[in-house]
Amino acid sequence: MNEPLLLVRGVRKAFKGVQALAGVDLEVQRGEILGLVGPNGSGKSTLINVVSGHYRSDAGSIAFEGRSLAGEAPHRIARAGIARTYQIPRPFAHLSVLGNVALPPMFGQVVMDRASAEREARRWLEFTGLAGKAALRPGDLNLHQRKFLELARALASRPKLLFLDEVLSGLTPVEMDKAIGLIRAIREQGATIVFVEHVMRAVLELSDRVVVMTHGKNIAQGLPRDVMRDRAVIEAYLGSAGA
Amino acid sequence: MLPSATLLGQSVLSGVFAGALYGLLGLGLTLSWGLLRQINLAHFALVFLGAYLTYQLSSVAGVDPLLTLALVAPAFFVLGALLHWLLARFKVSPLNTLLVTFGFTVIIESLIQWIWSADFRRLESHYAGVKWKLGALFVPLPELLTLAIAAGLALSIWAMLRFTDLGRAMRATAEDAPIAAAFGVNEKLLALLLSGLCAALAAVAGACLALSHTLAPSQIYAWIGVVFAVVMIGGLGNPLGPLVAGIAIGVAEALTMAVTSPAWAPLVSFSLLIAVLLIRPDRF
Amino acid sequence: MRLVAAGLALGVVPFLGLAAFYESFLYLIFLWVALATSWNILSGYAGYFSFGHAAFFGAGAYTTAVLAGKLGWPFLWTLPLAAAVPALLGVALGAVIFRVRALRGELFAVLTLAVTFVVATIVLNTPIDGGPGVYLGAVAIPGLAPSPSGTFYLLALALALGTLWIARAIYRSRFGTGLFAIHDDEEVAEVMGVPTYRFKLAAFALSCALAGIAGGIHSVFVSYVTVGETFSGWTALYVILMSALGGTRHWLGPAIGAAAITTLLYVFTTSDYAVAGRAAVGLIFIVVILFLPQGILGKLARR
Repeated sequence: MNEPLLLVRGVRKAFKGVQALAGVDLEVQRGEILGLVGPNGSGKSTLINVVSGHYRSDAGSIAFEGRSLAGEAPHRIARAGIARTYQIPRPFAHLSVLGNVALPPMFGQVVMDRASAEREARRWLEFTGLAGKAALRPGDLNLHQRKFLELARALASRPKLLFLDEVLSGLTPVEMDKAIGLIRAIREQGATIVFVEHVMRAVLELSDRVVVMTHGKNIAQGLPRDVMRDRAVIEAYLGSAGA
Repeated sequence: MLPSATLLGQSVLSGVFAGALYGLLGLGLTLSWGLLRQINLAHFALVFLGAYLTYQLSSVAGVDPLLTLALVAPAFFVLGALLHWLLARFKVSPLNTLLVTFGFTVIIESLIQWIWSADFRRLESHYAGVKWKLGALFVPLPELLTLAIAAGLALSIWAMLRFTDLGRAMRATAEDAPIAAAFGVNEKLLALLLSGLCAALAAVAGACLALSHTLAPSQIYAWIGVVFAVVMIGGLGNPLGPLVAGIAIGVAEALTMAVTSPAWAPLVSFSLLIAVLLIRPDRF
Repeated sequence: MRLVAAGLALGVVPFLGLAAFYESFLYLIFLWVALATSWNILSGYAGYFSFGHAAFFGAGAYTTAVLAGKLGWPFLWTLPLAAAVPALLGVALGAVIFRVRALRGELFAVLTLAVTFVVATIVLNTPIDGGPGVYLGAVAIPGLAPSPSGTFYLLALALALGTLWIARAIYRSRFGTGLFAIHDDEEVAEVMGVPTYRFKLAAFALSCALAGIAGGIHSVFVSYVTVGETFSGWTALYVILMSALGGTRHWLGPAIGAAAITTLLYVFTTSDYAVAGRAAVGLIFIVVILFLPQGILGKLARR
């Protein structure tokens, strides 16, 4: 077994008295699609924020391709090849759609000049179906399009590891199928994906493995079907009466 | 070469008095910043306008400087409410509030210069000459009055916020306006009242300023640094904050001046401010 | 290319033998173009509104005043230092302030405003000025043009063109994209790979350096610098107004605003209504902030 792409050990993070992450252990293998699930407030988004550098962890280790990332500046983490989308899209409001997607290639692992970055951006806009909207502002897009803009932007830096934070929430079933197809295609391009999702159908369809979090800890991991039948997981979601 | 005990004592005392004025100047600012979330740069210009009005009414009409407030404070109350109304009407963002009030500062400064010219003006009141002796130390009356007024107002407002319904409503609105509104608190009216109060406080600060300082339009800006420092160090929205922080800084400045030279006094408040911001940035 | 052409065309003016009045008027416009454009590099592009541009202008002015006026350096040799001193000051401040997440927006504005008065007081109370101001009438003006006012014209023109060139270069570059991203959402920009701390420091240092050169040139132009005039709150206001009026998101915006406001002020100052003129500027400022927040070029800024 190869060394995992991402190795998270004992990561803790507290906010003003709330222990959002209480010692998380997690491994992500290269090339897999890992589903990260758990009830609201279990710490999934916080984990993404910590790994991508948005927050600094209080304790624990985070190793990416063998290199320690804990405490690194977020822009260096991006350079190392980690990208993420935001649950509620956060595009750059005054840059065009093209400008938004062209930014990561200019600052990512491979630093491109503006012309190459824009070409790269157009590729990803094609991929996500937003090619016709390149000159618009994010404010002109609807929610589904803004989520795909988030996705295109995250992909544009050709990350080795991509975190998707509830990219499917708020989409219609048709849009959702399209998104699921996209995620598969992304993996085919060589990216490793960790995606946080509440839509169980998508989790079961897409994931190679699933990790379940609750109260800031990893309580179960393994194949999707096995994990969903795990007693501890059912209790976490439904409360002990449901098990 | 340390100064004598008497000189040190006098320095500390003058530091306390300077700090009291900082506290009084900061009172209106901390309330509007902490409770209304508006940084009102025009506060300083209003203070000076009040000071000049006190000077004018006192020198020309012979009114007792403190009594001029009976006229000036209510007028300023209205001005303050108007300012807030304007900002609310145009839904001005916090940064733009800073810019707009900067604009007002400049307009008021021009007004002051047009009416009273850029020359220095000194209010000669019957308070000015009075000095009492406390042991070996001199206690000038204008400064003592400022201290009394500053402490009195700070404590009253603190008590008002803490113990009265009106005060509780103000604090609730500051913390979470929609929820407070759901409980029947009239947010708009409270904001107008508060804004008016802050402007009236500026008038009071102006009167005290006129009692002990020489006035010039350019001096408006000289106070911005230290008053912002005491407001931020004292904690936004806390009426006692600027007074306590002000006295601490005033004394520190006075001692610095006594031991080294006046050049370094503004560094005291600024350095303390930077220190607070670095150590506890989450207070804002 | 167009800038170079404009520069050459304008550069001819001092040799045309016009009255000094025209040269002085245009000198002022070029000076304010440089000041507003340099301010915009950090404050307009990255959104960190500095109220302290006067501090760096003044630092540059006094650097030249001390070196040329008190230590006898040749005027032009003081200018690199008039750039370096404010830049170092800016870097020192930025190194501390930009590290703290909370010190953005209004707090950054307030801090930079306070810096101006701290610097002013230090200059006033130390041998740098000491109180009476610094007299620079004896400083030799290099003979770049037929008259002294012509020389200042050329210096200011060069500075304005240089500043505009830099602003445009940044606008089009990766550095500029990063700054604009910081303006929109600094945290996301950082997570997308923009080295926000470094970029902010660089923009600030550049902005301060250019303001410093302007200060250095102006100090000899007025030939007598005082703390009150040099560190005045008006400078901060004017650069913000000029940039806001012209459009802070475009490299040319501040220049347009500078030309407009300088002309307006000149008209007022030369009449009897100087003070009314300043009040009018304050009013325009408020109107622009309330009704024209994007500025004149706001619609044009496509990115």
